[in-house]
Amino acid sequence: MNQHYFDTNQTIRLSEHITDNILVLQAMFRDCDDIIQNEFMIGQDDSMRRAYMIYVDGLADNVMVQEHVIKPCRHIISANDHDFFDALRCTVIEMVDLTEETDFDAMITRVLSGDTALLVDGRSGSILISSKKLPLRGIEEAKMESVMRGPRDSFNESLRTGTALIRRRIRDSHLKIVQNTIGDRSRTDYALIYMEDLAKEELIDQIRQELSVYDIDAIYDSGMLEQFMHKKWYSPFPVIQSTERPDKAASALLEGRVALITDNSPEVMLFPATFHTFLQASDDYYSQWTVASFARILRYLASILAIGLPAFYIAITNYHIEMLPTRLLLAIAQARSLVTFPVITEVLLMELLFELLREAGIRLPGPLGNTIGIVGGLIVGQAAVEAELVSTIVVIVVALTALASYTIPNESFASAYRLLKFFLIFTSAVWGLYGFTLGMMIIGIHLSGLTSFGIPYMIPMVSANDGQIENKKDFILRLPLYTMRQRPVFTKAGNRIRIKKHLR
Amino acid sequence: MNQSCIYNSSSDLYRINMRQLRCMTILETGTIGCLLITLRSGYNTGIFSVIICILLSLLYGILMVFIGRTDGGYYALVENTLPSLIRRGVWCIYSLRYAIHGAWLLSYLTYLIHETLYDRAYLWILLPLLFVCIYAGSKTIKERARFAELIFWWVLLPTGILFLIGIGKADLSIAAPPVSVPFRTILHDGCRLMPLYLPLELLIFRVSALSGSRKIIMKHSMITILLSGIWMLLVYTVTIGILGSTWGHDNLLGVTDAMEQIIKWDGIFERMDILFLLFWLAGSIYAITAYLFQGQQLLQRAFAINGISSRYTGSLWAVLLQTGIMCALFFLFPAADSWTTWYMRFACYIDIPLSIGMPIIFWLIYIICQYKKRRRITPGIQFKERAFKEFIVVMILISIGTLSGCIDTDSIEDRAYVKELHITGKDNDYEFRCILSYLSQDSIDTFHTDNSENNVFTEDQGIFEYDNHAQSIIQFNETFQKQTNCTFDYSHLQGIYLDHTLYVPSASAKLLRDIRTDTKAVLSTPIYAEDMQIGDQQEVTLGDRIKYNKEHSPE
Repeated sequence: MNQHYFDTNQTIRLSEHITDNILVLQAMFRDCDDIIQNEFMIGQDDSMRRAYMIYVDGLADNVMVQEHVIKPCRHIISANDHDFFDALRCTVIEMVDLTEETDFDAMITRVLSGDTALLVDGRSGSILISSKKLPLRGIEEAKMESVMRGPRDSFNESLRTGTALIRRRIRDSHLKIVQNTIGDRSRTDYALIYMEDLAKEELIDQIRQELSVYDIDAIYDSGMLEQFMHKKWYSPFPVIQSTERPDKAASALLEGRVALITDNSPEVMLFPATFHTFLQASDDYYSQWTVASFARILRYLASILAIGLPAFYIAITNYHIEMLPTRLLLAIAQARSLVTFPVITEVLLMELLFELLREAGIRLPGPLGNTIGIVGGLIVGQAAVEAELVSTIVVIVVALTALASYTIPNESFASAYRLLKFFLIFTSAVWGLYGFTLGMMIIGIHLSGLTSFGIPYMIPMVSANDGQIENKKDFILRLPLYTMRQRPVFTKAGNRIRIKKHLR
Repeated sequence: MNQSCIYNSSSDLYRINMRQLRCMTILETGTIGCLLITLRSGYNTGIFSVIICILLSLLYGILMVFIGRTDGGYYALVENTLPSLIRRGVWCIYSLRYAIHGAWLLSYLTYLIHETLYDRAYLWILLPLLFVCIYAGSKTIKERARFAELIFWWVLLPTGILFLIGIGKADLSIAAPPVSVPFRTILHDGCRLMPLYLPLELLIFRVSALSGSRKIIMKHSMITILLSGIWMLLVYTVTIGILGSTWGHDNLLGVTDAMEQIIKWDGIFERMDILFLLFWLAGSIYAITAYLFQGQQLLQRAFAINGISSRYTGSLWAVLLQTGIMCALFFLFPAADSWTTWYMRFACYIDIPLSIGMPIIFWLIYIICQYKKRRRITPGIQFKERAFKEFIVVMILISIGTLSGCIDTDSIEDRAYVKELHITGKDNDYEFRCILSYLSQDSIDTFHTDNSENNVFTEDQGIFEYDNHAQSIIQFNETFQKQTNCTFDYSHLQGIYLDHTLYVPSASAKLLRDIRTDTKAVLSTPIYAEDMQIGDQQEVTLGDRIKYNKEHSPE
């Protein structure tokens, strides 16, 4: 029966005879010691009826089940009435979040998610009691997207905590949270969140449709879903933004974007995403516009340095020394005169060293990881210079590049930069500044072709699909909040005004 | 490359807007046009010929937009009026013409890159350029339009700023000759410039992808042509004003030479013009990709299997075929100057008449036949994705395989940086004396080992001095290289000092020209008289001297 159950895609309904259901459940959960299954009697004397309860130890709150479900059931006098089952649901069990489920498969999924199922003889359905008590981390400070000013909380691995953190920020009935599961075996819960009046229907439909077509074993993190949903598999640039900050997610929702929370993942996905959204930080909106604009300009400049500085250095020192001021040229020549390797090898050596330190820093436990980044960088860099493996200028170039790459607020976006930096190093090493220009052009052409769920990736530098030209009040400069009257292009037409009245 | 999509005039995927059209058109006409405007303009008619050319191009643009916006666009006009065989022939002619344009642009740009940025084998310059062109040419019109928007200001702003700065340094009177020149001559010279505006022809295919009335599109197109004309005027005036009429009109790289003299930066970069040139280069490459894209579109239509193909996407076989034709034509002429001469003749006498005549004829036929039922549009052509992947793999392997070649260059520390160059003597017997800012220890050791008896080399507190007799600068350089295994680098030359006989402009004409050609010394390098105090010297640069010699003894 068990084998049969898993082999068919048909809906199997619960039997009216509790013995049949118990046999199936016992066969199904054979050798599953964490599954608590217990048969007991409801009612007294002649009016007793067989009942069966099943839940997962560790995922369900067994004290709550004992106190609010089993105890009240034992006090029932007669269990033979025609409407006994309804009475059980409505008056006996002291819980609000109850549902009746007749589908075996759905019941099992709910039980494995932490709910408790109560089956009663004579009824082809089960009462599902919400009893989740998952082992979770608390709400901690955002680690990857920390800010100087603004809320510190972040999402954790619980889907429900995630939805609560968003709901806390948007107390509007237009905020819709639609839940479903994905993964044949993992049955991972996810919630699609959007503002009904702001998000475009076609966007919501597209995401729903895409999620419905994936027939895969398991989803462990939103990162896996992100890869499945990226149409251009060869592109290093992410087209879905992930964030661990609830304020960022809430703000995105109010711009007409759609959020997707995946259970077991502390990162929430935001659709659509553009090049520019990856360079926005939360505290841009909490600081004075002048300060925020300065930070933005700095970030854009840093992004250019992060991708191109080592390549530019190689191109200039190998092919275009006439561009360097004479004193700098002589300083570089003097510094390089002791180094054995050519410039390209020098740069690659230092870049790889930096990547190694970064990778080691992530894998090493807590404080040690941070320390190795600083100590490793200083000591190894200094040692490499003293050993005449690299020149001091290259250490400065690589350090500046690393620093610049860390100013990019989104990790997956910064990773694309780090990768493409090597591509530009290659083209510049072979063709000098000509190669650098061609490399940048290839990246530019690629970025121009990218779209994120119908929205051109390079908006507002390029026009939208419908020919609209996006305003640039929240671009390299973040203008005063009161000037940003309109929501961005992601929003449904007709609902783009977000500041209806202000004092200025 | 979205192969499943079929052009549908109502689909947003294949629609562009006016801003995008403006960016595309200005980039395509402006970048290449500006680079060659001085070469093509008339000696005696100066700025007037440029103005006439702008006016003519406005008429040309009006014609293209008018026919391009005819019911269903130019594609539909041709495909609905001509029989299949003729129609295919027409698209083949268009495609071949665009291949010729592309090939010439390839030739010119590889020459430009070779002379200004990367002086290696032409083939090695061509290969990555082709790769970028193929990549860009296989995108959809919308993606290309977005790319144009993306780079537009990056190209326009630096060059705009550079040439606005240049106004201060240019002698503007040279660009505006006396108005007594006959109008016929001005008109003739204006027509000679028309090949630079040939990319405007692409409007005929593009305007159907725009939404809006013909009148509005016409108005915006005219503004676009005028803007690109203003850009050309600015570049022309400044370039001629700086280089002078003879050097400016006679020089395939006049604009880059002018750029070199406009800016002498003492900040982060000493040669800011190179950085500005890179942006310009990006715009120029975009112009090649425009011809490649349009050519492959037409090839798709010419060889469509099932009726008429009307896709707006790139198809790989067509892109590769068009690139192949372009490459074959590229090798027709070995040198960029002969290519340019031939191309300009071809453009003036064959291409422009064709580009105007064909649409007019088809439009007239269309008008006569418009009562006929329109033919149904169906898709065609299979996409050869595998070939594309293989091509990319081969390109990457070739590039990786030759990575070691990138080190085939003198490293920064292996050169001798010349600070001052003192020259005395005359008539192919010169004494050159160099003051070097830096010389590596290896070179010094090599010199002392091989030339211990020779005392032409002295050192005093880190300043090196080297002197020798030679018949030319190139011989002087070669001698030094033999003795030290090290090459002179003149990129940071701070002054050329000539003795009183050579300081006379006519006496040093050849010598200075050789210095420019063989050492790539910057045109803004000052020239001093050896026996005069620095304070008493006139402000004369290498560029000024070359300009003077071109004007007074253009041998």
